[in-house]
Amino acid sequence: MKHQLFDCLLFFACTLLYVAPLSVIGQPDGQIKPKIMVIPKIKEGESLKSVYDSNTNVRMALAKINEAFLKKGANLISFDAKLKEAKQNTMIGKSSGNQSDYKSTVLQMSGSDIYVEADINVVKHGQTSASSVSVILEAYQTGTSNFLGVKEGRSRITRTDDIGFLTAQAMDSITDGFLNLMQLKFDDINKNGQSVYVQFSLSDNSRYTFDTEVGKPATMLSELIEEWFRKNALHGVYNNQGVTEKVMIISDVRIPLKNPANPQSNYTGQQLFSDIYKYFKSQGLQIKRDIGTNNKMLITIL
Amino acid sequence: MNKLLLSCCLLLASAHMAFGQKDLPGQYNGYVKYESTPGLGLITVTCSGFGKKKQQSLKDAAAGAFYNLLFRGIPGSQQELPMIPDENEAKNNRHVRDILDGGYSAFVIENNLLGEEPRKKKKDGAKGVLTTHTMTISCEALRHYLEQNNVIRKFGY
Repeated sequence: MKHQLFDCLLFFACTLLYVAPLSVIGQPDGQIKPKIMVIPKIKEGESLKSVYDSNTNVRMALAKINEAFLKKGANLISFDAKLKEAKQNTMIGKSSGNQSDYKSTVLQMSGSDIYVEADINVVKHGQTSASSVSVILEAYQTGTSNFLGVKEGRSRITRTDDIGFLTAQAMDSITDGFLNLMQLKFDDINKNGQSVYVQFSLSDNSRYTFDTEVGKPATMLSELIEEWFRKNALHGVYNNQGVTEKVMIISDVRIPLKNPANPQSNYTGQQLFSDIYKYFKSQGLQIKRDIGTNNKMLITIL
Repeated sequence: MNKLLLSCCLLLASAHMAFGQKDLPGQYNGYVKYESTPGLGLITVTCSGFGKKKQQSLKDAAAGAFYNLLFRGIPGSQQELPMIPDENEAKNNRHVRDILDGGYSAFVIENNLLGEEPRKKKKDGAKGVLTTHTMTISCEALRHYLEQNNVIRKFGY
């Protein structure tokens, strides 16, 4: 009986010893992985979809940078999949006449935090029948369009018609450096907070303008909003781009990455809206959200 | 090959000229020059070191190369930004010290001795040997190690 008890305890101890380290390894490190989408850069009059579908080099460049992001464990959104999704979306169909609208709608639909534009140029070198490829990668934050980094890479000048090979060569020369540059910006975001674009507008039948005095003591609505951002932006950093009677734009407000009330959870755009909503309610005002991503928020005051 | 020899000579000359100034404890020389990227996640540099014996000189050269890669960046390469953004905060980190004290060998793919010559230090007249090496370092493995040990953050914020 004693032996059985001892064996049982030994088994239990061994199981604990085996499982305990696993549970430590398995714990999330609490770091936020932004959602990234890589898209081709288009010129005026070009269609995002046709550039992607018709150009093998563009697809290769996108595949290369996607591969580099995946190696880093990034949270990637497939541009190809989003394009297919967008095709079925009637809202896109309505705005497809305007390419820049199309791009912003695809980005908005994708839910990406960051997008990377890849610009590929093939250069023919005179009569030598040699070619080279230059690639420019630019990274932006989706909602705010804040610039995160740029890198330019070139392939060798080679006598070949295999442009894909040259594209891969140009990409290989910059991917590591580009990702390092992005990480530098991420470190800054980690230290100084996430950027969010917030725009307030008025509904058609609203009885307010941004100059209307509200609350107690009576304060102009625009001032009331600015006061809230002054108090709640991380380190008090925000940029009031401008205010008119009908629109007020806070083009860049820094919010914390972690919820101050619960540091285990992330502070997202949704929570920012929720805090703004509560504040407006306390002032006797009603608002609704038209667009609410992690980086962009369009709010209408009713 | 000629370019490599020329850069080796230049490094030897600059290292020789500056010996009187690099003997502070915890300081590493900056005789590190980018050579090539033999593959993704790899970097080849030329570096120089000084020591009483050849082995110590190699250690000095490697530690210098790694210190520059970690805290200064290697100009002209994809690693032009330092791997560790805050030098003051991390230079005394246990894992960083381990790397600089010899742990670097786990990340060195190839190390070739380019040249060696006996030298005397200007400062105290100490005799020793100056060596120059080409070293191929796996930046990817080094970054992974630093991430695993929480010296740097993983990709993201």
